[in-house]
Amino acid sequence: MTDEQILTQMQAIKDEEANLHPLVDNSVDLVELEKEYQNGSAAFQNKIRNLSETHDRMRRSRGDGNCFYRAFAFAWFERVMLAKNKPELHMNAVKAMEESKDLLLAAQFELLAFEDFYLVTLETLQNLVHYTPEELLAAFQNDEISNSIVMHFRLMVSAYLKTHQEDYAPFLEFGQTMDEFCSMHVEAMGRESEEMMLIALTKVTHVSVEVAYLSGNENVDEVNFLPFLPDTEPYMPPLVLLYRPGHYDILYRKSHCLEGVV
Amino acid sequence: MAKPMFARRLSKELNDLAMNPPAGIDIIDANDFKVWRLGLAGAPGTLYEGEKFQLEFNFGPNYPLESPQVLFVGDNVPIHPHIYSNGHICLDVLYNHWSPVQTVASICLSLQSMLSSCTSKERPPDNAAYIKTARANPKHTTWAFHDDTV
Repeated sequence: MTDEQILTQMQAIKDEEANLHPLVDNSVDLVELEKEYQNGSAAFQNKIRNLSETHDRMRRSRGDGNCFYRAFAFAWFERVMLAKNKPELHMNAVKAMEESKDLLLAAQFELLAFEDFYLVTLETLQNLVHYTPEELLAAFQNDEISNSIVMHFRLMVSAYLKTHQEDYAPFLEFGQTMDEFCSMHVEAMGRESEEMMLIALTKVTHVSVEVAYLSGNENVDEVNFLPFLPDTEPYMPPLVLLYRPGHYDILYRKSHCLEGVV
Repeated sequence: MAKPMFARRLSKELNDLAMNPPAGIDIIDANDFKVWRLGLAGAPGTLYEGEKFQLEFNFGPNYPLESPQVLFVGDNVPIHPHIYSNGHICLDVLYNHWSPVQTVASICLSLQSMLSSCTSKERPPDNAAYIKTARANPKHTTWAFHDDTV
């Protein structure tokens, strides 16, 4: 096989993978997560059983390296859309998004290079007041809209880290500058995220997140929840993300009583 | 959102290049949103002073989420340790370090600065072997970026 053929075949495998999983999927009962591990270790099974006492649904985000940003954006936008009786959620979200433009400019990003992603993201957010749950899902399954939102979220994280270097530079590898770190790990599509990106995104959006860490650790039966808090008082209950090594999905907490999730 | 994203973005970039052309960079041909040709002049006071080069940009429908294909074309391909005689350029931002915040102008400026910092005009050591096996599209090459000091 020539290199060209190998590349074509690799692309075909990727496309096939992509066709199997939408960028953001319909939500499913947590039983589906249990099924994934029915032949797996008792540690996973016990944790999922415990998790399902407080959480009842999950939503998968495609494992393309952008899963964290896409899951965060969808979970946030869905929360705003479902709370039509609480217009302050929408106002706060639009305000945070509008402020992100100044943050990106302050971080020396060129308006020309980011405004298309910004405008698509802002427009989607503004449209939430009349979106149905199906329309929001369709928007996040559309490559151009969904990837533009992911890109804007990446740039918000990068801009936050660059404008708060004194706080975050100590976490970088020796000799690496924040600009290098961001261009390598944040600004390029498909680069996986780590905790620093999560912290930055909660600060920029003023949205709190709890991450449920599902691991095969035999010593504990409970899923470990780690909260990430913005600097301001959270104006809605935290988004809940499910983390399995290398991948993020969305979780639905029973006590949040979200109605109309598709 | 009538126009697709690549067309919206490229019309803005074209407008900006026409209004505020960076020093030493000019548009030779940009009649569609598929292939652009730009002229790049070697900066004064560098090894390339007085030389004129041509760059070709090929944009796919996923630009700017995916990088354009960029290479030197024409009969004067700069002699530089990171530029092969077939026009292929070994520069990380064109491949695995691509980010959609790059623009045609910023790529031209990166290439100009890559030329300007050069201290010795020579081809990459593996030039002969590379151009025999390389495919037309440099994005299909597995690049190893080992030296960013020249």
